[in-house]
Amino acid sequence: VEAFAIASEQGRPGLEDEVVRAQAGDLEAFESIYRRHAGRIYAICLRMCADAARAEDLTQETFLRAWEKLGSFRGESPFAAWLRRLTVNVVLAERRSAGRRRSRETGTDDVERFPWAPQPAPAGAGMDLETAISRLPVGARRVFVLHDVEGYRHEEIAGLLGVAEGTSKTQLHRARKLLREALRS
Amino acid sequence: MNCSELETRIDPFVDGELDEAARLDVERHLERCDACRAAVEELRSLLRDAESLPRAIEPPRDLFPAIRSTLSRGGPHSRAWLGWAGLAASLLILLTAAALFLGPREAQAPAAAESPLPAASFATSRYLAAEDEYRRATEQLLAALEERKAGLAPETVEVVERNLQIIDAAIAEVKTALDADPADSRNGEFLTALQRQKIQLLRRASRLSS
Repeated sequence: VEAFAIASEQGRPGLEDEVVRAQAGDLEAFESIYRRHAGRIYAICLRMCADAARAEDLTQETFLRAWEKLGSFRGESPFAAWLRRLTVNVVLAERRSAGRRRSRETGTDDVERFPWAPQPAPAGAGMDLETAISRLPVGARRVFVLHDVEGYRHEEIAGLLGVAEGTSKTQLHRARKLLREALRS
Repeated sequence: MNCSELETRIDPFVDGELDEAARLDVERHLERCDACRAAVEELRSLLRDAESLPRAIEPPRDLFPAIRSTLSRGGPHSRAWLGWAGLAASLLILLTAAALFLGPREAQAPAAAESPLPAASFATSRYLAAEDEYRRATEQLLAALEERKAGLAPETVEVVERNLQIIDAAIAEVKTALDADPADSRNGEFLTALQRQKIQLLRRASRLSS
């Protein structure tokens, strides 16, 4: 139905119909949406929080929030982009609101304590980089994932994180420098 | 430019964010500095690798059973209740906006009636195209709610029914406005928003009763 999803989901016919049915409360349609997007959502959560168990929790939380907010999806952007934005907000909100979980966060913002542990045997070039990203300080890691992996602009990142654009640029510079050093060694 | 200065500009240079003069400055330095040229190539290689990381990583286990279980649990302590306040607030905003919009329009109605009807706006066309879908979804949810009503607290039923009446009254009013002026895109937008609110209200009520 055009009213709900104007944008095409790039060669994925049927998604608009799934979204419309899920908006009307159809849990089976919502499960189809989960099956289609879970990998994408989990990847964002995992890279941003660097903790597999928390990434699972955040993925679940994202889909629960998506169910509640489906009614507000108007099809002005592709559904996948809407869900991706929701995921980033869930990850960041969890970080902001749960100080008690901060101790479980992998990584530190203290560059001096940046933990370059020996890397596991690589399963390919991508594995090396994934490991290095997971070991970045929290702030640098989030900006790197949002900018260089997910393609957000500094302006958007600054808005999402509630920081100045300059802070986003500084964190990105820091992340790239640390990654270059890590991958060189 | 020296190597330290290049280090501070390496990101905007690689990201294509430098102005022409600054970019040429960096390029001139790179022509005569092997170390900085290698650093730029190293950064570009990193960015290529980052872009080619897999877009999806499947979760190690199926998370949907837990999601389904949470959504199906229902009851006064379920997370569904957390949404009631937000729903009520957005409904209030929507109805206030509709009232402000409809108020001045009624005064203009006689003048509008003398003119032939203009073509429907895009928002109105979209709404009309989806109207049957809204009707079907609403009927299904109402039927489901009717079946499960016994499982809801009487005060909840009262809240749901009162809000449904308010939304239905607003829908009827905006529909009248739409018939009079299909070219005004706000009619279609309001109707779409109201129908979605209605579905959201019914979905939440269904979840509470399941």
